[in-house]
Amino acid sequence: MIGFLLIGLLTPFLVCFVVLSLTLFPRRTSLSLFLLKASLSVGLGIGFSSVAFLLVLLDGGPSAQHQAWLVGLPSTAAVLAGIAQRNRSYGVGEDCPAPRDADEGPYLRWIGVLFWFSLVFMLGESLVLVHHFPHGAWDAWAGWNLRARFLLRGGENWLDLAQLSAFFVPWYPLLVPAFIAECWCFLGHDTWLVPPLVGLLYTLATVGLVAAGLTVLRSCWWGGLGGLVLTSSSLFVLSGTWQTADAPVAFYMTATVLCFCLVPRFPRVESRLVLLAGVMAGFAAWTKREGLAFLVCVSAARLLFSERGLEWRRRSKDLLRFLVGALPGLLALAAFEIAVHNANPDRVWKTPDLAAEARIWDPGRWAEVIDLTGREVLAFGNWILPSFLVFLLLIGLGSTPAFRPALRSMLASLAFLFAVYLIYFFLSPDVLEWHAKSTVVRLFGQIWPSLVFLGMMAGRKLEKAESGAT
Amino acid sequence: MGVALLLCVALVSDARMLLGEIRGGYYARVVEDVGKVDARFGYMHPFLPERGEVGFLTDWGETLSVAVDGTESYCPPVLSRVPSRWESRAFGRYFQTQYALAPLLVRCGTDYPHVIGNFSNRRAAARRQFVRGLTRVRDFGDGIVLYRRWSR
Repeated sequence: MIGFLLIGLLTPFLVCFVVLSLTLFPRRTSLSLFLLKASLSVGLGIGFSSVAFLLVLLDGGPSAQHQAWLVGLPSTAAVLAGIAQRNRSYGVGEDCPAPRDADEGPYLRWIGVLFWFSLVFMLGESLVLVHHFPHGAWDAWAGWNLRARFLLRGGENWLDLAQLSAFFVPWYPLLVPAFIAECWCFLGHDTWLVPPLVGLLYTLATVGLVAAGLTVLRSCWWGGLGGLVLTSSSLFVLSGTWQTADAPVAFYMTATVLCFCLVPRFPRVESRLVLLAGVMAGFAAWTKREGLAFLVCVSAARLLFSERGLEWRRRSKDLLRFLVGALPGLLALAAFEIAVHNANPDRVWKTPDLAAEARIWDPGRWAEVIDLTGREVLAFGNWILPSFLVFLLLIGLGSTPAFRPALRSMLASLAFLFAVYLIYFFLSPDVLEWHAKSTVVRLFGQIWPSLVFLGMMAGRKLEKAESGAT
Repeated sequence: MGVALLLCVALVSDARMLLGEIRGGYYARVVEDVGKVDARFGYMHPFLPERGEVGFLTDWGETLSVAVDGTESYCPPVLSRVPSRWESRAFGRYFQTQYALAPLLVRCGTDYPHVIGNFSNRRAAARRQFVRGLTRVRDFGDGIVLYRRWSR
């Protein structure tokens, strides 16, 4: 049984790893590039598996024949991609126009040791928490895992989930439940083991993205520090073991940001990296509603804040490529929403909120939202955010010029997204204090890994920082 | 200096996380142990249909029945304000039952051939030995009871 689970889990990861190795990055690989590809493969593998499983569900529910399909089809695709790439030379051994920093930062060895210590500590704590609370947080079992049970146990009647009470948000995207159900399918029954494993994989992969990404783009010093900040952020660690979709959506957001930042380093595969960023953003939309908002924000930011002087035609082409990449996730989302709507066309999706307009024009409400959000965000992760900002102020900003357009557009995307969250709070009919305590920190936790990555990318070169500080 | 500050905060954060978990802090407050209830409901499956709807009954008051009625709305009144501990428990019972019995659809009310009672404890379940129109089929312990509607 465990063997079947391993096949179900490992096949998509390995296939994505092979495809990434062949199509994007040099074959001569370093440890950091290997970790980067492995981290990206986790999210890609889970995303494509969930889309494939949705197709299986729409085809009448899982069967033994479908399981063979789910393993065989991606493996064949990887072999074909390998054959197609064999005689091509692009993307291999390209020049690096954006040089990395020298690996000579202060406390270099200590930062490495502390990062690994913190990672092991995070893993240990996660395992202890999973042992004590195997079903995760309320939202996990009452939302994500419940729908996974419907997909597995419902068989050909899986769309019965459309008849669920509105409390269970049956129309919510299916990336996480579909992958969990697929693993259960390979196992033959539902077990508590899979959802925490998925949460843990996403948490580790996000740490991998930030640490390996910073190492590839800047230096080991920045990679270790970025990883350390992330593994020390308590809420980020907890969200993985909660088994909610916050960890997966944070992963896809970070992966999108990272892919855009990789473009100046690997310019010969620019179009493929933009496409990959689109795939990741599409999977973010297929994970949670916030992911859909993120996709819109990135599109707007890329159009407005790409390289200065870049003509609109080229920007539009860039955007089109990004959106083409997002198609797998977006099409899966659309197919699922249509299926749920057809299964329960009489559902009242949302009662009109007539008081929303009045709330927009209430200055007291604005002040309350900003006050509560600010307090929750500042206290996030045991006050790690203010410390991170002070760190950036002390070390100073001054990234390599080649990275600046990508950093600018990605920071703008996150700012847009945060503005969307704030507008949601302005309009929400719920009591703000309760809302803020239950939601703000989680929403901020979704963009936290991307912020850490961008902050570290924007930091001044070490030699300059040290001389400036002394 | 900036690096040293960040390292200190990271270490303190790790230590606070550890202390918090040793004291059963934040995590314990937001997580319910549904595993036990889930296992208890496992014994009920042979008595229930494979799909369709079942009724739901609890002793946590009428608010839930009003909130989770047939005409479901996106944001029911009970969730429009800060839910009290009492309401949270009522919802908790309902959510646990739905989670354990998926893919059955659990509906509030007793007008169904099978009705699940999920009460606060064994004593509360015993007090509902007789519910109008229902026959008690089996008590599964921990306040979980299965009823059947009389055939008309």
